Amino acid sequence: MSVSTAESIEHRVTELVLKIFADRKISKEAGDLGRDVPLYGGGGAGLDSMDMAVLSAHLEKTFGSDPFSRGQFARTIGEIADFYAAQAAS
Amino acid sequence: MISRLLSDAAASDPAAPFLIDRGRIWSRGESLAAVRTLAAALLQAGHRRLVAYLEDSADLVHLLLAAAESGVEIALANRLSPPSELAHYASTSDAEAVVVRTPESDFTGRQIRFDDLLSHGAGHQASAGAVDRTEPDATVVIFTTGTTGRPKGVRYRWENLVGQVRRRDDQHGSRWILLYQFNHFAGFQVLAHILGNDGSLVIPANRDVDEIRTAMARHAVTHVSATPTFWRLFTGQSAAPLPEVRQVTLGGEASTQDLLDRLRALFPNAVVSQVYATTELGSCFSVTDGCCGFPATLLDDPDRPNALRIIDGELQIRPRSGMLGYTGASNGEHSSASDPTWVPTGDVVEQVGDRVYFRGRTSEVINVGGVKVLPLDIEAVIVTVPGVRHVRVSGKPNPIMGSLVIADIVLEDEAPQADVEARIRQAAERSLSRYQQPRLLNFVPHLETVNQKLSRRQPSEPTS
Repeated sequence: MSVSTAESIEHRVTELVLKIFADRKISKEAGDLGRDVPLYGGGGAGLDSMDMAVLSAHLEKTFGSDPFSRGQFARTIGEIADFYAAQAAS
Repeated sequence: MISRLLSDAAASDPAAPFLIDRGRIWSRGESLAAVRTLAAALLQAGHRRLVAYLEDSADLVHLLLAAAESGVEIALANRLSPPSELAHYASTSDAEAVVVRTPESDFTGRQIRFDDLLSHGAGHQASAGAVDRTEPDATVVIFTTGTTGRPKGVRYRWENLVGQVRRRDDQHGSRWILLYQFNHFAGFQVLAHILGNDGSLVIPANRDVDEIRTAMARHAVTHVSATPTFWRLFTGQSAAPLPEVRQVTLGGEASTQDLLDRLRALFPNAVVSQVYATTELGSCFSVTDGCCGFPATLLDDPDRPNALRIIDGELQIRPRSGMLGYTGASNGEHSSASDPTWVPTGDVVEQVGDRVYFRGRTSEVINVGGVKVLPLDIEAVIVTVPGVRHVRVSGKPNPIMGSLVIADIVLEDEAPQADVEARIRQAAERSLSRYQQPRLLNFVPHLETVNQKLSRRQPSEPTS
Protein backbone atom coordinates (compact mmCIF):
# COMPACT_ATOMS: atom_id res chain seq x y z
CA MET A 1 0.00 0.00 0.00
CA SER A 2 1.33 3.40 -0.92
CA VAL A 3 1.96 6.19 1.55
CA SER A 4 -0.64 8.34 -0.21
CA THR A 5 -3.35 5.66 0.31
CA ALA A 6 -2.54 5.49 4.04
CA GLU A 7 -2.68 9.27 4.23
CA SER A 8 -5.97 9.32 2.39
CA ILE A 9 -7.53 6.80 4.83
CA GLU A 10 -6.28 8.78 7.82
CA HIS A 11 -7.61 11.98 6.29
CA ARG A 12 -11.09 10.48 5.77
CA VAL A 13 -11.16 9.03 9.32
CA THR A 14 -10.14 12.44 10.71
CA GLU A 15 -12.95 14.12 8.77
CA LEU A 16 -15.50 11.71 10.25
CA VAL A 17 -14.14 12.22 13.77
CA LEU A 18 -14.23 16.01 13.38
CA LYS A 19 -17.84 15.78 12.25
CA ILE A 20 -18.72 13.97 15.50
CA PHE A 21 -17.04 16.74 17.50
CA ALA A 22 -18.85 19.37 15.43
CA ASP A 23 -22.22 17.66 16.04
CA ARG A 24 -21.44 17.71 19.77
CA LYS A 25 -20.47 21.37 19.44
CA ILE A 26 -16.99 20.63 20.84
CA SER A 27 -14.46 22.84 19.10
CA LYS A 28 -11.65 20.72 17.62
CA GLU A 29 -9.40 20.92 14.61
CA ALA A 30 -7.35 18.21 12.98
CA GLY A 31 -4.23 19.58 14.66
CA ASP A 32 -5.77 19.07 18.12
CA LEU A 33 -6.17 15.35 17.57
CA GLY A 34 -3.25 13.99 15.61
CA ARG A 35 -2.79 10.23 15.33
CA ASP A 36 -2.43 9.33 18.96
CA VAL A 37 -4.77 11.43 21.12
CA PRO A 38 -7.36 9.17 22.82
CA LEU A 39 -10.78 10.21 21.56
CA TYR A 40 -12.76 9.18 24.64
CA GLY A 41 -12.38 8.23 28.29
CA GLY A 42 -10.43 9.97 31.06
CA GLY A 43 -7.80 12.27 29.58
CA GLY A 44 -9.35 11.84 26.15
CA ALA A 45 -10.56 14.42 23.68
CA GLY A 46 -14.10 14.43 25.07
CA LEU A 47 -16.19 11.84 23.21
CA ASP A 48 -18.39 9.37 25.10
CA SER A 49 -19.67 5.91 24.24
CA MET A 50 -22.66 7.29 22.28
CA ASP A 51 -20.31 9.39 20.16
CA MET A 52 -18.09 6.38 19.54
CA ALA A 53 -21.17 4.36 18.55
CA VAL A 54 -22.13 7.05 16.05
CA LEU A 55 -18.56 7.15 14.77
CA SER A 56 -18.61 3.38 14.26
CA ALA A 57 -21.82 3.69 12.23
CA HIS A 58 -20.31 6.43 10.04
CA LEU A 59 -17.12 4.41 9.57
CA GLU A 60 -19.16 1.43 8.48
CA LYS A 61 -21.13 3.56 6.06
CA THR A 62 -17.96 5.07 4.59
CA PHE A 63 -15.64 2.06 4.52
CA GLY A 64 -18.06 -0.89 4.54
CA SER A 65 -16.83 -2.20 7.90
CA ASP A 66 -15.73 -0.81 11.25
CA PRO A 67 -13.08 -1.88 13.76
CA PHE A 68 -15.52 -2.03 16.70
CA SER A 69 -17.65 -4.71 15.04
CA ARG A 70 -14.46 -6.73 14.60
CA GLY A 71 -13.74 -6.64 18.31
CA GLN A 72 -11.10 -3.89 18.14
CA PHE A 73 -11.97 -1.01 20.40
CA ALA A 74 -9.82 1.56 18.64
CA ARG A 75 -9.07 4.57 20.85
CA THR A 76 -7.30 6.94 18.46
CA ILE A 77 -7.48 8.12 14.87
CA GLY A 78 -4.21 6.27 14.30
CA GLU A 79 -5.64 2.96 15.53
CA ILE A 80 -8.74 3.34 13.36
CA ALA A 81 -6.68 4.28 10.31
CA ASP A 82 -4.34 1.33 10.93
CA PHE A 83 -7.34 -1.02 10.96
CA TYR A 84 -8.35 0.08 7.46
CA ALA A 85 -4.76 0.19 6.26
CA ALA A 86 -4.34 -3.43 7.37
CA GLN A 87 -7.57 -4.34 5.58
CA ALA A 88 -6.46 -2.61 2.42
CA ALA A 89 -3.10 -4.38 2.54
CA SER A 90 -4.54 -7.87 3.05
CA MET B 1 -78.19 -13.76 8.84
CA ILE B 2 -75.65 -11.86 6.76
CA SER B 3 -77.30 -12.08 3.39
CA ARG B 4 -80.64 -11.47 5.11
CA LEU B 5 -79.37 -7.95 5.85
CA LEU B 6 -79.02 -7.49 2.09
CA SER B 7 -82.32 -9.16 1.28
CA ASP B 8 -84.14 -7.02 3.88
CA ALA B 9 -82.57 -3.89 2.41
CA ALA B 10 -83.48 -5.05 -1.11
CA ALA B 11 -87.06 -5.73 -0.02
CA SER B 12 -87.48 -2.14 1.16
CA ASP B 13 -85.83 -0.51 -1.88
CA PRO B 14 -84.47 -2.93 -4.51
CA ALA B 15 -83.28 -0.17 -6.85
CA ALA B 16 -81.12 1.60 -4.25
CA PRO B 17 -77.39 1.34 -5.03
CA PHE B 18 -75.41 -1.22 -3.01
CA LEU B 19 -72.03 -1.39 -4.74
CA ILE B 20 -70.36 1.01 -7.16
CA ASP B 21 -67.52 -0.93 -8.72
CA ARG B 22 -65.35 1.18 -11.04
CA GLY B 23 -68.40 3.11 -12.18
CA ARG B 24 -70.76 0.08 -12.57
CA ILE B 25 -73.65 0.50 -10.13
CA TRP B 26 -75.09 -2.65 -8.58
CA SER B 27 -78.50 -2.14 -7.01
CA ARG B 28 -79.42 -4.10 -3.90
CA GLY B 29 -81.72 -6.26 -6.04
CA GLU B 30 -79.02 -7.02 -8.60
CA SER B 31 -76.49 -7.86 -5.91
CA LEU B 32 -78.96 -10.11 -4.15
CA ALA B 33 -79.60 -11.99 -7.39
CA ALA B 34 -75.86 -12.46 -7.93
CA VAL B 35 -75.41 -13.69 -4.35
CA ARG B 36 -78.19 -16.25 -4.79
CA THR B 37 -76.78 -17.50 -8.07
CA LEU B 38 -73.34 -18.00 -6.55
CA ALA B 39 -74.77 -19.60 -3.40
CA ALA B 40 -76.63 -22.09 -5.58
CA ALA B 41 -73.38 -23.00 -7.31
CA LEU B 42 -71.50 -23.43 -4.02
CA LEU B 43 -74.24 -25.60 -2.54
CA GLN B 44 -74.59 -27.69 -5.65
CA ALA B 45 -70.84 -28.36 -5.78
CA GLY B 46 -70.76 -29.26 -2.10
CA HIS B 47 -67.83 -27.02 -1.21
CA ARG B 48 -66.81 -26.62 2.44
CA ARG B 49 -63.74 -24.36 2.43
CA LEU B 50 -62.48 -22.07 -0.31
CA VAL B 51 -59.86 -19.40 -0.77
CA ALA B 52 -60.88 -16.29 -2.72
CA TYR B 53 -58.07 -14.81 -4.84
CA LEU B 54 -59.97 -12.00 -6.54
CA GLU B 55 -59.30 -8.30 -6.76
CA ASP B 56 -61.52 -6.07 -4.60
CA SER B 57 -64.73 -5.95 -6.61
CA ALA B 58 -68.49 -6.40 -6.53
CA ASP B 59 -67.83 -10.01 -7.60
CA LEU B 60 -65.78 -10.61 -4.46
CA VAL B 61 -68.47 -9.11 -2.21
CA HIS B 62 -71.09 -11.31 -3.89
CA LEU B 63 -68.92 -14.39 -3.43
CA LEU B 64 -68.38 -13.61 0.26
CA LEU B 65 -72.08 -13.18 0.91
CA ALA B 66 -72.90 -16.30 -1.11
CA ALA B 67 -70.40 -18.28 0.95
CA ALA B 68 -71.92 -16.99 4.17
CA GLU B 69 -75.38 -17.93 2.92
CA SER B 70 -74.41 -21.42 1.85
CA GLY B 71 -72.28 -22.18 4.90
CA VAL B 72 -68.99 -22.35 2.99
CA GLU B 73 -66.00 -20.98 4.86
CA ILE B 74 -64.08 -18.54 2.71
CA ALA B 75 -60.52 -17.33 3.27
CA LEU B 76 -59.50 -14.05 1.69
CA ALA B 77 -56.09 -14.19 0.06
CA ASN B 78 -54.32 -10.90 -0.46
CA ARG B 79 -54.65 -10.23 -4.21
CA LEU B 80 -51.33 -8.37 -4.04
CA SER B 81 -49.56 -11.55 -2.92
CA PRO B 82 -47.93 -13.44 -5.79
CA PRO B 83 -49.73 -16.62 -6.97
CA SER B 84 -46.84 -18.63 -5.53
CA GLU B 85 -48.26 -17.76 -2.08
CA LEU B 86 -51.58 -19.46 -2.87
CA ALA B 87 -50.31 -22.81 -1.62
CA HIS B 88 -49.64 -21.17 1.77
CA TYR B 89 -53.12 -19.61 1.86
CA ALA B 90 -54.81 -22.87 0.82
CA SER B 91 -52.94 -25.06 3.29
CA THR B 92 -53.23 -22.74 6.32
CA SER B 93 -56.97 -22.37 5.75
CA ASP B 94 -57.46 -26.05 4.86
CA ALA B 95 -59.25 -25.11 1.64
CA GLU B 96 -60.08 -27.55 -1.13
CA ALA B 97 -59.91 -24.98 -3.95
CA VAL B 98 -59.08 -21.39 -4.82
CA VAL B 99 -61.53 -19.13 -6.66
CA VAL B 100 -59.64 -17.13 -9.30
CA ARG B 101 -60.40 -14.74 -12.14
CA THR B 102 -58.13 -16.68 -14.50
CA PRO B 103 -56.19 -19.84 -13.58
CA GLU B 104 -52.72 -19.21 -12.13
CA SER B 105 -49.90 -21.35 -13.49
CA ASP B 106 -47.87 -20.95 -10.27
CA PHE B 107 -50.43 -22.85 -8.22
CA THR B 108 -50.89 -26.60 -8.68
CA GLY B 109 -53.93 -27.02 -6.41
CA ARG B 110 -57.53 -26.95 -7.60
CA GLN B 111 -58.73 -23.65 -9.07
CA ILE B 112 -62.26 -22.53 -9.88
CA ARG B 113 -62.88 -19.67 -12.28
CA PHE B 114 -65.29 -17.11 -10.89
CA ASP B 115 -67.19 -16.92 -14.18
CA ASP B 116 -67.63 -20.71 -14.22
CA LEU B 117 -69.11 -20.53 -10.74
CA LEU B 118 -71.54 -17.87 -11.90
CA SER B 119 -72.70 -19.72 -15.01
CA HIS B 120 -72.88 -22.98 -13.08
CA GLY B 121 -75.07 -21.34 -10.44
CA ALA B 122 -77.39 -19.86 -13.06
CA GLY B 123 -78.13 -23.39 -14.26
CA HIS B 124 -78.98 -24.69 -10.80
CA GLN B 125 -80.71 -21.76 -9.20
CA ALA B 126 -84.24 -23.01 -9.85
CA SER B 127 -83.69 -26.27 -8.02
CA ALA B 128 -81.77 -24.78 -5.10
CA GLY B 129 -84.55 -24.25 -2.64
CA ALA B 130 -82.10 -24.50 0.23
CA VAL B 131 -80.45 -21.23 -0.72
CA ASP B 132 -82.65 -19.22 1.60
CA ARG B 133 -81.62 -21.11 4.70
CA THR B 134 -79.77 -19.20 7.38
CA GLU B 135 -76.29 -20.24 8.41
CA PRO B 136 -75.62 -18.68 11.81
CA ASP B 137 -72.35 -20.53 12.17
CA ALA B 138 -70.85 -19.52 8.83
CA THR B 139 -67.22 -18.55 9.21
CA VAL B 140 -64.70 -16.51 7.30
CA VAL B 141 -60.91 -16.37 7.48
CA ILE B 142 -59.10 -13.04 7.44
CA PHE B 143 -55.33 -12.80 7.46
CA THR B 144 -53.36 -10.51 9.76
CA THR B 145 -51.50 -7.69 8.02
CA GLY B 146 -48.10 -9.19 8.60
CA THR B 147 -46.34 -5.84 9.11
CA THR B 148 -44.04 -7.64 11.53
CA GLY B 149 -44.11 -11.22 10.27
CA ARG B 150 -45.87 -13.74 8.03
CA PRO B 151 -49.67 -13.26 7.80
CA LYS B 152 -51.71 -15.54 10.04
CA GLY B 153 -55.21 -16.71 9.20
CA VAL B 154 -57.82 -15.71 11.77
CA ARG B 155 -61.22 -17.43 11.79
CA TYR B 156 -64.39 -15.48 12.58
CA ARG B 157 -68.09 -16.09 12.76
CA TRP B 158 -69.87 -13.73 10.39
CA GLU B 159 -72.38 -13.04 13.08
CA ASN B 160 -69.69 -11.76 15.45
CA LEU B 161 -68.14 -9.59 12.78
CA VAL B 162 -71.37 -7.87 11.87
CA GLY B 163 -72.45 -8.03 15.51
CA GLN B 164 -69.63 -5.59 16.28
CA VAL B 165 -71.38 -3.01 14.13
CA ARG B 166 -74.04 -1.03 15.91
CA ARG B 167 -77.07 -0.02 13.87
CA ARG B 168 -77.16 3.74 14.22
CA ASP B 169 -79.53 6.29 12.81
CA ASP B 170 -76.74 8.66 11.88
CA GLN B 171 -75.08 5.88 9.88
CA HIS B 172 -78.21 4.87 7.96
CA GLY B 173 -77.75 5.04 4.22
CA SER B 174 -74.11 6.01 4.56
CA ARG B 175 -71.95 5.79 1.45
CA TRP B 176 -68.45 4.49 2.00
CA ILE B 177 -65.42 4.29 -0.22
CA LEU B 178 -63.16 1.25 0.07
CA LEU B 179 -59.64 2.41 0.92
CA TYR B 180 -58.55 -0.78 2.66
CA GLN B 181 -58.46 -4.13 0.94
CA PHE B 182 -61.25 -6.56 1.74
CA ASN B 183 -58.71 -9.15 2.83
CA HIS B 184 -57.73 -6.80 5.65
CA PHE B 185 -59.81 -6.78 8.81
CA ALA B 186 -60.59 -3.08 8.44
CA GLY B 187 -61.79 -3.57 4.87
CA PHE B 188 -64.05 -6.29 6.10
CA GLN B 189 -65.39 -3.99 8.79
CA VAL B 190 -66.37 -1.48 6.12
CA LEU B 191 -68.44 -4.22 4.49
CA ALA B 192 -70.00 -5.07 7.86
CA HIS B 193 -70.91 -1.38 8.36
CA ILE B 194 -72.64 -1.19 5.01
CA LEU B 195 -74.61 -4.37 5.61
CA GLY B 196 -75.52 -3.32 9.14
CA ASN B 197 -76.69 0.17 8.18
CA ASP B 198 -78.26 -0.25 4.71
CA GLY B 199 -75.33 1.63 3.22
CA SER B 200 -73.51 1.47 -0.08
CA LEU B 201 -69.88 1.14 -1.08
CA VAL B 202 -67.74 2.73 -3.78
CA ILE B 203 -64.87 0.48 -4.88
CA PRO B 204 -62.26 2.70 -6.55
CA ALA B 205 -60.28 1.53 -9.58
CA ASN B 206 -57.05 2.03 -7.65
CA ARG B 207 -55.73 3.74 -4.51
CA ASP B 208 -54.23 6.82 -6.17
CA VAL B 209 -55.08 10.03 -4.35
CA ASP B 210 -56.47 11.67 -7.51
CA GLU B 211 -58.65 8.67 -8.34
CA ILE B 212 -60.01 8.54 -4.81
CA ARG B 213 -60.75 12.26 -4.63
CA THR B 214 -62.59 12.08 -7.96
CA ALA B 215 -64.58 9.00 -6.92
CA MET B 216 -65.48 10.59 -3.58
CA ALA B 217 -66.84 13.71 -5.24
CA ARG B 218 -68.62 11.93 -8.11
CA HIS B 219 -70.41 9.44 -5.88
CA ALA B 220 -71.06 11.74 -2.90
CA VAL B 221 -69.14 9.62 -0.42
CA THR B 222 -70.05 10.33 3.21
CA HIS B 223 -67.82 7.91 5.14
CA VAL B 224 -64.13 7.13 4.74
CA SER B 225 -61.83 4.86 6.72
CA ALA B 226 -58.08 4.43 6.21
CA THR B 227 -54.75 4.13 7.99
CA PRO B 228 -52.77 7.13 9.28
CA THR B 229 -50.13 6.24 6.67
CA PHE B 230 -52.73 6.61 3.90
CA TRP B 231 -54.15 9.82 5.36
CA ARG B 232 -50.70 11.35 5.62
CA LEU B 233 -50.21 10.68 1.91
CA PHE B 234 -53.69 11.97 1.09
CA THR B 235 -53.48 15.21 3.08
CA GLY B 236 -50.00 15.82 1.66
CA GLN B 237 -51.33 15.76 -1.92
CA SER B 238 -54.80 17.15 -1.55
CA ALA B 239 -55.60 20.45 0.09
CA ALA B 240 -59.10 21.42 -1.12
CA PRO B 241 -61.68 20.67 1.61
CA LEU B 242 -64.24 17.89 1.11
CA PRO B 243 -67.28 19.27 2.97
CA GLU B 244 -69.72 16.46 2.08
CA VAL B 245 -67.87 13.82 4.12
CA ARG B 246 -69.55 13.17 7.49
CA GLN B 247 -67.18 10.68 9.08
CA VAL B 248 -63.45 10.03 8.75
CA THR B 249 -61.99 7.02 10.49
CA LEU B 250 -58.36 6.22 11.20
CA GLY B 251 -57.18 2.85 12.39
CA GLY B 252 -54.50 0.21 12.25
CA GLU B 253 -51.70 2.46 13.48
CA ALA B 254 -51.31 5.16 16.10
CA SER B 255 -52.10 8.64 14.86
CA THR B 256 -50.24 11.89 15.47
CA GLN B 257 -51.73 15.24 16.44
CA ASP B 258 -50.49 17.03 13.32
CA LEU B 259 -52.34 14.52 11.15
CA LEU B 260 -55.58 14.86 13.10
CA ASP B 261 -55.35 18.64 12.67
CA ARG B 262 -54.82 18.29 8.92
CA LEU B 263 -57.83 15.97 8.63
CA ARG B 264 -59.95 18.44 10.53
CA ALA B 265 -59.07 21.11 7.94
CA LEU B 266 -59.61 18.80 4.96
CA PHE B 267 -62.96 17.45 6.22
CA PRO B 268 -64.54 20.44 8.01
CA ASN B 269 -67.94 18.78 8.52
CA ALA B 270 -66.78 15.33 9.52
CA VAL B 271 -66.42 13.56 12.82
CA VAL B 272 -62.82 12.33 12.91
CA SER B 273 -62.79 8.98 14.67
CA GLN B 274 -59.74 7.00 15.74
CA VAL B 275 -60.61 3.33 16.00
CA TYR B 276 -58.62 0.85 18.01
CA ALA B 277 -59.10 -2.57 16.43
CA THR B 278 -56.97 -5.59 15.76
CA THR B 279 -57.58 -8.57 13.52
CA GLU B 280 -57.54 -10.80 16.59
CA LEU B 281 -59.68 -8.71 18.96
CA GLY B 282 -61.97 -6.93 16.57
CA SER B 283 -63.04 -3.35 17.15
CA CYS B 284 -62.33 -2.37 20.77
CA PHE B 285 -62.97 1.35 21.17
CA SER B 286 -62.96 4.64 19.29
CA VAL B 287 -62.09 8.23 20.14
CA THR B 288 -63.68 11.23 18.43
CA ASP B 289 -62.37 14.24 20.36
CA GLY B 290 -59.72 15.14 17.79
CA CYS B 291 -56.77 14.50 20.12
CA CYS B 292 -54.32 11.65 19.76
CA GLY B 293 -54.32 8.85 22.32
CA PHE B 294 -57.43 8.06 24.37
CA PRO B 295 -58.96 9.26 27.65
CA ALA B 296 -57.68 7.49 30.75
CA THR B 297 -61.29 7.06 31.90
CA LEU B 298 -61.50 4.08 29.52
CA LEU B 299 -59.00 2.24 31.71
CA ASP B 300 -60.08 0.03 34.55
CA ASP B 301 -63.77 0.43 33.79
CA PRO B 302 -65.23 -3.00 34.50
CA ASP B 303 -68.50 -2.13 32.77
CA ARG B 304 -66.89 -1.67 29.39
CA PRO B 305 -67.59 -4.51 26.95
CA ASN B 306 -63.89 -4.51 26.06
CA ALA B 307 -62.05 -3.79 29.30
CA LEU B 308 -58.65 -2.07 29.12
CA ARG B 309 -55.68 -1.93 31.46
CA ILE B 310 -51.96 -1.13 31.35
CA ILE B 311 -49.48 -3.72 32.61
CA ASP B 312 -45.75 -2.94 32.47
CA GLY B 313 -46.41 -0.17 29.97
CA GLU B 314 -48.33 -2.45 27.59
CA LEU B 315 -52.03 -2.10 26.79
CA GLN B 316 -54.05 -5.21 27.62
CA ILE B 317 -57.62 -5.88 26.52
CA ARG B 318 -60.22 -8.32 27.77
CA PRO B 319 -62.37 -8.77 24.69
CA ARG B 320 -66.11 -9.24 24.58
CA SER B 321 -66.13 -11.20 21.35
CA GLY B 322 -63.45 -11.65 18.80
CA MET B 323 -62.01 -14.32 16.62
CA LEU B 324 -62.63 -18.04 17.06
CA GLY B 325 -58.95 -18.82 16.73
CA TYR B 326 -56.07 -18.99 14.31
CA THR B 327 -56.29 -21.40 11.41
CA GLY B 328 -53.84 -24.29 11.40
CA ALA B 329 -52.80 -26.27 14.43
CA SER B 330 -49.40 -24.79 15.17
CA ASN B 331 -50.47 -21.52 16.77
CA GLY B 332 -50.29 -21.76 20.52
CA GLU B 333 -51.00 -18.10 21.28
CA HIS B 334 -54.48 -17.39 22.59
CA SER B 335 -56.30 -20.06 20.64
CA SER B 336 -59.73 -18.97 21.79
CA ALA B 337 -60.85 -15.41 22.38
CA SER B 338 -64.04 -16.68 24.01
CA ASP B 339 -61.77 -17.28 26.99
CA PRO B 340 -62.47 -14.21 29.13
CA THR B 341 -58.84 -13.43 29.90
CA TRP B 342 -56.65 -10.42 29.35
CA VAL B 343 -54.83 -10.31 26.02
CA PRO B 344 -51.58 -8.33 25.66
CA THR B 345 -51.89 -6.11 22.59
CA GLY B 346 -48.21 -5.48 21.95
CA ASP B 347 -48.94 -1.74 22.06
CA VAL B 348 -46.76 0.30 24.38
CA VAL B 349 -48.74 3.10 26.03
CA GLU B 350 -48.07 5.84 28.54
CA GLN B 351 -50.53 7.66 30.73
CA VAL B 352 -49.87 11.38 31.02
CA GLY B 353 -52.44 13.03 33.28
CA ASP B 354 -55.89 12.05 32.05
CA ARG B 355 -54.75 10.88 28.63
CA VAL B 356 -53.14 7.65 27.41
CA TYR B 357 -50.76 7.90 24.45
CA PHE B 358 -49.49 5.19 22.11
CA ARG B 359 -45.72 5.00 22.09
CA GLY B 360 -45.13 2.09 19.72
CA ARG B 361 -45.10 -1.68 19.59
CA THR B 362 -43.29 -3.88 22.07
CA SER B 363 -41.62 -5.55 19.09
CA GLU B 364 -40.31 -2.17 17.92
CA VAL B 365 -38.55 -1.19 21.12
CA ILE B 366 -35.01 -0.06 20.30
CA ASN B 367 -32.46 -0.71 23.04
CA VAL B 368 -29.87 2.08 22.90
CA GLY B 369 -27.17 1.46 25.48
CA GLY B 370 -29.75 -0.09 27.83
CA VAL B 371 -32.29 2.71 27.33
CA LYS B 372 -35.49 1.60 25.63
CA VAL B 373 -36.73 4.02 23.00
CA LEU B 374 -39.73 3.76 20.71
CA PRO B 375 -39.99 4.78 17.05
CA LEU B 376 -43.35 6.58 17.30
CA ASP B 377 -42.12 9.29 19.70
CA ILE B 378 -39.23 10.00 17.37
CA GLU B 379 -41.32 9.85 14.20
CA ALA B 380 -43.79 12.33 15.72
CA VAL B 381 -40.97 14.88 16.08
CA ILE B 382 -39.45 14.32 12.64
CA VAL B 383 -42.72 14.32 10.69
CA THR B 384 -43.48 17.89 11.79
CA VAL B 385 -40.23 19.20 10.27
CA PRO B 386 -41.00 21.20 7.09
CA GLY B 387 -39.95 19.28 3.98
CA VAL B 388 -40.55 15.82 5.48
CA ARG B 389 -43.39 13.87 3.87
CA HIS B 390 -42.93 10.52 5.55
CA VAL B 391 -40.62 8.93 8.09
CA ARG B 392 -39.93 5.53 9.56
CA VAL B 393 -37.61 5.09 12.53
CA SER B 394 -35.92 1.82 13.40
CA GLY B 395 -32.94 0.41 15.27
CA LYS B 396 -29.64 -0.41 13.62
CA PRO B 397 -27.43 -2.92 15.41
CA ASN B 398 -24.31 -1.27 16.82
CA PRO B 399 -21.27 -2.90 18.43
CA ILE B 400 -20.98 -0.23 21.14
CA MET B 401 -24.55 0.74 22.12
CA GLY B 402 -26.43 -2.37 21.09
CA SER B 403 -28.55 -0.31 18.71
CA LEU B 404 -28.62 3.17 17.26
CA VAL B 405 -31.70 5.01 16.08
CA ILE B 406 -31.86 5.50 12.33
CA ALA B 407 -34.53 7.26 10.28
CA ASP B 408 -35.65 6.62 6.71
CA ILE B 409 -37.07 9.84 5.32
CA VAL B 410 -39.15 10.67 2.26
CA LEU B 411 -38.84 14.33 1.33
CA GLU B 412 -41.63 16.56 0.06
CA ASP B 413 -41.22 17.34 -3.64
CA GLU B 414 -38.28 19.65 -4.24
CA ALA B 415 -37.41 20.01 -0.56
CA PRO B 416 -33.62 20.56 -0.33
CA GLN B 417 -32.11 17.56 1.48
CA ALA B 418 -29.32 19.43 3.26
CA ASP B 419 -31.72 22.01 4.72
CA VAL B 420 -34.20 19.37 5.86
CA GLU B 421 -31.38 17.33 7.40
CA ALA B 422 -30.23 20.35 9.41
CA ARG B 423 -33.79 21.10 10.54
CA ILE B 424 -34.32 17.48 11.61
CA ARG B 425 -31.14 17.58 13.70
CA GLN B 426 -32.23 20.82 15.36
CA ALA B 427 -35.72 19.47 16.09
CA ALA B 428 -34.26 16.23 17.48
CA GLU B 429 -31.83 18.07 19.76
CA ARG B 430 -34.64 20.28 21.00
CA SER B 431 -37.25 17.59 21.66
CA LEU B 432 -35.53 14.23 22.07
CA SER B 433 -33.06 12.70 24.49
CA ARG B 434 -29.59 11.77 23.24
CA TYR B 435 -30.69 8.14 23.11
CA GLN B 436 -33.72 8.97 20.96
CA GLN B 437 -32.01 11.24 18.46
CA PRO B 438 -31.66 9.62 15.04
CA ARG B 439 -27.98 9.06 14.34
CA LEU B 440 -28.21 8.18 10.69
CA LEU B 441 -30.65 9.75 8.26
CA ASN B 442 -31.35 7.83 5.05
CA PHE B 443 -33.21 9.76 2.37
CA VAL B 444 -35.31 7.31 0.38
CA PRO B 445 -37.78 7.72 -2.53
CA HIS B 446 -40.62 5.89 -0.74
CA LEU B 447 -41.35 3.65 2.24
CA GLU B 448 -42.74 0.15 1.90
CA THR B 449 -46.27 -0.37 3.14
CA VAL B 450 -48.29 -3.52 3.85
CA ASN B 451 -52.06 -3.05 3.60
CA GLN B 452 -51.38 0.68 3.70
CA LYS B 453 -49.56 0.46 7.00
CA LEU B 454 -45.86 1.20 7.25
CA SER B 455 -43.96 -2.05 6.96
CA ARG B 456 -41.79 -2.49 10.05
CA ARG B 457 -40.31 -5.83 9.11
CA GLN B 458 -36.87 -4.45 8.38
CA PRO B 459 -35.30 -1.09 7.73
CA SER B 460 -34.58 -0.31 4.11
CA GLU B 461 -31.02 -0.10 2.89
CA PRO B 462 -29.44 3.34 2.99
CA THR B 463 -29.31 5.18 -0.32
CA SER B 464 -26.89 7.91 0.67
